[in-house]
Amino acid sequence: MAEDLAVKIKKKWVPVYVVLLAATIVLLAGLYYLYTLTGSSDYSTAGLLDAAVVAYIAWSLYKLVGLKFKPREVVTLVECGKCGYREERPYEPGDFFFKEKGKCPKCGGPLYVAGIYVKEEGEEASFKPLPLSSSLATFITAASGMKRGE
Amino acid sequence: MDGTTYDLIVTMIVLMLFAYLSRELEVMRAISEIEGYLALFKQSRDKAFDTLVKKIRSLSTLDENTIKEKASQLIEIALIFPVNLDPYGIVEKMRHILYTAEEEVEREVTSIAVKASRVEVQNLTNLAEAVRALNYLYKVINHYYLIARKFKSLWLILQLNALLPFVSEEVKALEGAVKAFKHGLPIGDAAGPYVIAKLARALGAERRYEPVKDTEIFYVEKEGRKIYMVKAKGPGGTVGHLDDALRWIVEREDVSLLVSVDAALKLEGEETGLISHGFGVAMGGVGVERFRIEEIATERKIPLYAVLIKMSEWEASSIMSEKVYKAASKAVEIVKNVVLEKCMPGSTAVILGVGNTMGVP
Ligand SMILES: [Zn+2]
Ligand SMILES: [Zn+2]
Repeated sequence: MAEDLAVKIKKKWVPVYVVLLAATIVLLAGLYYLYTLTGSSDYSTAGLLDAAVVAYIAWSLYKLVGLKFKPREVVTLVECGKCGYREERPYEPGDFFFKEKGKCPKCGGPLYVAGIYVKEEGEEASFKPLPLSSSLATFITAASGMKRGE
Repeated sequence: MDGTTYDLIVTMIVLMLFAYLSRELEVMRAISEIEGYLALFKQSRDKAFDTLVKKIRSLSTLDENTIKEKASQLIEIALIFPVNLDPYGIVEKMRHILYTAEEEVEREVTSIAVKASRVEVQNLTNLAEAVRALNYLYKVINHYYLIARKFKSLWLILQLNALLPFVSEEVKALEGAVKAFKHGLPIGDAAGPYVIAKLARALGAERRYEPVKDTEIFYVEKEGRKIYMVKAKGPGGTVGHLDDALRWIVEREDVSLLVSVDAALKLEGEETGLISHGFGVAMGGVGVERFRIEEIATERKIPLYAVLIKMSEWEASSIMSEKVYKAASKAVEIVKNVVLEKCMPGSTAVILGVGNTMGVP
């Protein structure tokens, strides 16, 4: 997908989250004030519920702000035909494979373009099973193993 | 009616109401998701179209409106495949249609972009093709969305919703292609031609033939073996006509091994750049060329060996990634060893580098 676009669209929701967060925090403060005033357990229950909502919104906002679009850089790998010297340079328009690109800084031999590619940005995001579902899976396998053992 | 029955009825009604509401909510969620995806597809289609227009403008002398009109014509071209009620001879018919389309589209592009060199014409044709695919995808999804809304069909909506992740993978791949084609950069699918180009230079290919349009053949004698290496002719974006080139070779030589190298789709979870071996012809596309190569090989009982470089659809059509590049560089040695191992001195081997050769001369 157009990652930059998708990120932009999602980021549009940030102000909404901020307002919601502020409102729930104000509500929480109000509930706490009322609770200290009256000591009624109704307020403390509502306060607890509200605290859960605050935590959820804060977590969502944190994830949203953490979204980043990293543009990936195209590089030209040049190699010396004589001594094997290698260097990655930013791609220049007009570069193509096996094109001659000046002299080798080490031995003065001819440099040529050995590769054009985008740099990999660290590790790719990989999916890990949620802790709950993985423990559930362990439980199920154990249970089914027990059944088979009978 | 006593209190318990009354309570029971109310509970039932409330439960049913919840069931109904949750389904309605589910449909609403699905619809809004589809609409979000559609907006993204439309935006990326429009962006790609702008890229095409901009590219044409830089290579043309026509005025703005004519350029836009011609570009819209280019992305609305349709290929009508032959009737398959009687499949006998259908491959030749398909080939005929594909060849006609290729020639005509290239001629059309040349007439629009008069300032373009041959390479630029090829790249522009590729670009137009990617934009056409984006346009088509958007229109098809929009069509199903509108139908689903029109008939208020829950199942159509849910089906469409389930399909969207796969479609957006494809859209992502095409967007990557547009970006690469705009600058004439090598894409992941260029791994096959790259292996040939690199190998030909490493072996010091003695001769170079160009008997077929957009296709080049390198020839070298190595340790008593005659090796022919075939790839599309770069650096313009084209896949060449490897089948015709192979026919040209087998008419002259007694070929005893055919190795094909191509990018292959990996499964989700597989490592990019994994190199796997196989038997048969490694080649994507409609299947016309593969059919003809298989025919030639079967006729002459040539063993078919394949070397596959695994990557995702997105990686295959976007600018070559570092992992793919490294895998392709590794594949050069592997292909060389395969040929030296399986082809005895005194016999002839042919290596086909399958894929779009953009950026790889
Ligand atoms: Zn050097
Ligand atoms: Zn390919």
